[in-house]
Amino acid sequence: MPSVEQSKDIIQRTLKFSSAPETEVHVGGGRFSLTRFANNEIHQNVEERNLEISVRVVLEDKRTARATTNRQDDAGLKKVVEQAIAAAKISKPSKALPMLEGGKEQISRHVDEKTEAFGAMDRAKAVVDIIAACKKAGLTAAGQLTTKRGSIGNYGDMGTYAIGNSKGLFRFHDETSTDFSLTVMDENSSGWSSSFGSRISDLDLAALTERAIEKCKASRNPEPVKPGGWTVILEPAAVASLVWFLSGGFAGRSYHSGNSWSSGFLGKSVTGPKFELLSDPYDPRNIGRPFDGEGLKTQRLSLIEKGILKSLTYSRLTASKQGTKATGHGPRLPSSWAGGPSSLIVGGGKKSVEEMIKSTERGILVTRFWYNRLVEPRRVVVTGMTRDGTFLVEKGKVTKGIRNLRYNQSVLEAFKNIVELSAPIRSEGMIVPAMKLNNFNFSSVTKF
Amino acid sequence: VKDGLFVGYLTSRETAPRIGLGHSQGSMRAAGWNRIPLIRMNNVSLQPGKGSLDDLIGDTKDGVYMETNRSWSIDQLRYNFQFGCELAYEIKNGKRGRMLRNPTYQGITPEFWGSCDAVCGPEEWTLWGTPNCGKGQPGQTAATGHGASPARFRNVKVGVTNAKR
Repeated sequence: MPSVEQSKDIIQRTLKFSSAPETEVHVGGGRFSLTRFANNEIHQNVEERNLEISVRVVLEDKRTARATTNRQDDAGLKKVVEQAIAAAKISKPSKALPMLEGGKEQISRHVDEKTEAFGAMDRAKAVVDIIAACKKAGLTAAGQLTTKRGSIGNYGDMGTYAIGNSKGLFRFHDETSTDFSLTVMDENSSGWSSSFGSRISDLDLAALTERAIEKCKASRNPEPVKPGGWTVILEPAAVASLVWFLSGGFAGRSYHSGNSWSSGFLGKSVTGPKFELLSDPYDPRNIGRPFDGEGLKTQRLSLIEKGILKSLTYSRLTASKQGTKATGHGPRLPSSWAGGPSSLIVGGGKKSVEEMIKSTERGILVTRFWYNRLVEPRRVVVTGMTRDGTFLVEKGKVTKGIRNLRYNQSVLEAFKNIVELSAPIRSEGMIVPAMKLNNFNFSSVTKF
Repeated sequence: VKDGLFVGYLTSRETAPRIGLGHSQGSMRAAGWNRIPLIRMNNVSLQPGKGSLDDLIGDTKDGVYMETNRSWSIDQLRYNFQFGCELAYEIKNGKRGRMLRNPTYQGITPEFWGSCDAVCGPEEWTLWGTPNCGKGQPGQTAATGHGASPARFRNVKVGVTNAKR
């Protein structure tokens, strides 16, 4: 991972090759290291180290384009600038605002050296212990353990960790991160656990392993229940699955164009009063890059307070059009994407999952949802399946494992029916509580 | 699938011997230089049958004609699935009628395909597909091809969402 000085060097060398009135350089990438296991053995150990330099130019007549390379030598940087200029000359004029002025540099580092040093053998040893625990229980383990550095993504997208432009702007954000998931399987049941963090020490692998094993055992010989409206206790991962479908609706451009679920609802109730949502890249539980695709500092935003839509995210251009302030959530330009919030935190409460179970006369405990997809954007109706630990709750106790169910549910409607909330934890890329909800709609059952 | 019977798997050199095959069919693909290959579908298509779409609608007393998929979801053993389409039309007594909004349908895979009683002919066959089939850890996205003619399925659950805002 290039240092601040090395990143500045790449940016400055690139800028020197550009004759355009405005030039912006993004540097993205880092290291992605993953150990994967299945059928109780490691079958994949991969590491990618990559770097991407992405150049946007704006010509005299406002035509703009972007070109990208992973070459860092002078000839490669010169070529990518030439490609950006050639592409801009055949593009339409842009309505983007002039690039941000330099001002004070913004540099942030959240690098855990122990995580950075946690290599392939360390991952293998950790996984060997996990597999041993599952084998001892007579079960089969599958999963992954990942550590990352920089902005490199899961699908090979390099992201951005540094930006510089021809007006002297410089932004840099360095971080380590970890991710773990485990599926434990028996003949007719399975259990699952997962977590993520900034540091390898954020993952309590032994506890996560024991959790997945217990769920697998407890859901053996699942029986079918009838679909319909149910009281549900959703563990944090299941809640996160639903919350993700709201996140695209907070972008100002989508709101004002009328094609967001949130359009027309600013200042009004969108969910029930027990639902709150925050975007905060400065929260130590879920560190995020603190600047947007143009280098503007990202604000902490309260998105939904007591069920009321409080804030939207604004790129510089949309803010300018709407006569409001940009919030530092704009995308890398040019972009058809409207941008949106990151580092989500869902408001929690004080009830534990065990207390939610005790207070339930009849309901379903859900470990996670799977293959969730948006069915109707306006009402945020989502469908998906339960999996890896779905249980019937009767008279305050978990009584048996049940066959998995398909849900069809408006997320906005679901969050009007919140009964209880737990303390939020890290799950599925956000900070999120478990929730007990009434009248959650399961529409069909599957065969296992 | 041949004559309604499941007769083969997608295989690699590693998995072909496990099912008694002497050679791989070559189904391993990687999305790029920085990903290991995985077994994954490239083109999985329904063979055409006979007749036009107009003939099929004309032969249907009471049904729903759906066009253009826009949402998809299935369980991890590929039994319970649900699809949503862009639009649909009611079919009554062999004629296409009013347009229906937000059409969805749900089924259990072998039951659904077991209820297929008509597939239109080659003149109606189109190679559809997806540009963004996701698989693997770390993730890989690849294009897939799915050719099909319109087909009819009986006793399918439709309009499954029925949700309020």
